[in-house]
Amino acid sequence: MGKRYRNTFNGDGTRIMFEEFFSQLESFEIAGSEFSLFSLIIGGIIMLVGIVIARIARIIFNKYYAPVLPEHTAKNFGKMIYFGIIIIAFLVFVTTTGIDFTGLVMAGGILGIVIGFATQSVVSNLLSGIFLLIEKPAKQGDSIELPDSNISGSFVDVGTFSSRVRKFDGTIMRIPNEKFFTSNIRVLTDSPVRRHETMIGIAYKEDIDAAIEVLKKTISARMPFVLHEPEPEFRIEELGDSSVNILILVWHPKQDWGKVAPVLLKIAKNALDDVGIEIPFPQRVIWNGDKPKE
Amino acid sequence: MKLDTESRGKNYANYGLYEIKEELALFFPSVEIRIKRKDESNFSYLRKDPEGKIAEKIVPVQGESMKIEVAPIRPLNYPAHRTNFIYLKFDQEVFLSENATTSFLVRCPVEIGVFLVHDSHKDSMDWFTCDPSQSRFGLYGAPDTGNLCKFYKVPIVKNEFDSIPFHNCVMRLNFENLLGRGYPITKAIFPITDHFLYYKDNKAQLDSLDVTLRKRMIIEYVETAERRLENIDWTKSPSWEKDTETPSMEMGLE
Repeated sequence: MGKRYRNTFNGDGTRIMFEEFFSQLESFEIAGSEFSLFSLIIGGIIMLVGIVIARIARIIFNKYYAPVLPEHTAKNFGKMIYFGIIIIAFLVFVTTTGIDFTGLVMAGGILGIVIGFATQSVVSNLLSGIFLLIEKPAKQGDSIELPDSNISGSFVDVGTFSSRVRKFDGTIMRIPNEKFFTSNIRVLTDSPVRRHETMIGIAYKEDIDAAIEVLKKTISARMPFVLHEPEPEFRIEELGDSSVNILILVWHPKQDWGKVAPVLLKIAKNALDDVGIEIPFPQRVIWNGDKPKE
Repeated sequence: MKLDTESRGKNYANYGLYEIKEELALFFPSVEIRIKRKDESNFSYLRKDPEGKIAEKIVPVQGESMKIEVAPIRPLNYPAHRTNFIYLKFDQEVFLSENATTSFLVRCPVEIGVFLVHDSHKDSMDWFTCDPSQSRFGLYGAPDTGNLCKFYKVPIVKNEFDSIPFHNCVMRLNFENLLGRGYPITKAIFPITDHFLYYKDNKAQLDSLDVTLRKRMIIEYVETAERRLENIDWTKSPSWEKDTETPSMEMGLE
């Protein structure tokens, strides 16, 4: 056979050589469909080319188009392009090889139901992920809080089966899409400003208006991230056991929670200390009654 | 070297170009800048700000001297660049009757930029504010849909030289009321990045703002447009805002 190939190594000869070679390869049958090794090789090449094209398309998209799109959208578009091309390649592969899935579907019917039950959560997470992409409850980089799960952090992305949140301690929390989709989501950075509240108590003997004036002036002077419009608000929240409790409400730019919330109480306390306004600690006054007459 | 301006009893520097061969000290209200030759091709730059913080940097230069320009810049950088909008709340209300026009001057705060001048380029080297206690934020509109702005309470003034050196500049506001009713004006909110600053000695001016109050059907709205200052012998400031985005790099550099 080797000799014959050498003799016909030109133009039509090459074609005849290949036809003869592949015709001698045995056909085989899977689920009622007949395949030849030739058709499988062609199919494999198609899939390989499909994957290469998908990768090239994703690289081109990431290089030229993704930078001008929001990060979240760019990532999802990238995935859509990649998997879209691979699915198209697979369909071409199926058509070329002549695979008939009817038999497989029939045979796999019962198995499908079993697998369906087993993969219920997988499908649920997949569908929840799609709904999350459509609804977009938060943008990539938004600070969010899931009060039900006691999770707060920066929203990273929605994946195929799970979403990721970078907690404020730097760790990544993976949340199944279904749970994320059905959770209450509090977006902390959607509005341009946020309000922070803190409470401070003064002694009953102190002048409330004077204390508020001191707090107002100090916050205005020492906290550049606190908004002057709307102005900080001061409310007498409670006549407590040991103190008159003043609730301080201040607005700040959404990004600057860290420059306001952790220091507000310290600044308020120092301001009251500086002017000698007492911040009482919990105390109990005990009265001794008169001795009963004998 | 211009170090002769008498302002509030102190020798403050003027805005303008400075060429440093060996050493230079510039004084502004609560801020001090010292530039000194370190070696043949490097200068050291030191700034002490009103909060007592010291900023120090080394500036490599080509040539025998270092050239800087000190100029007023838009007041958007302190305490951090968060918005391009300015909210000027006037100390007095101006009532504009139906179909009336008016024009008045207000003070608008400025920050000060230090630019390194070389080969006809002006690179922002440093910036500061002489009045950090007045640089605050305000919200115009509702918390969910409003605009975050730099907020300043400003007085109405008489002429373009009526600014406090290094603290503020003067800008002209031109109003036209086409609403079909009288309207009280108490504030002006606009994106200041469309406006340029101009300086002369230690005084500064900002491009004017044209404000037209209009009504279409039942909706009342405001149109604003900047108007360039023309035919003035003031020097135009290089403009600059601190970029909050760090450029993306393989290894990271700030």
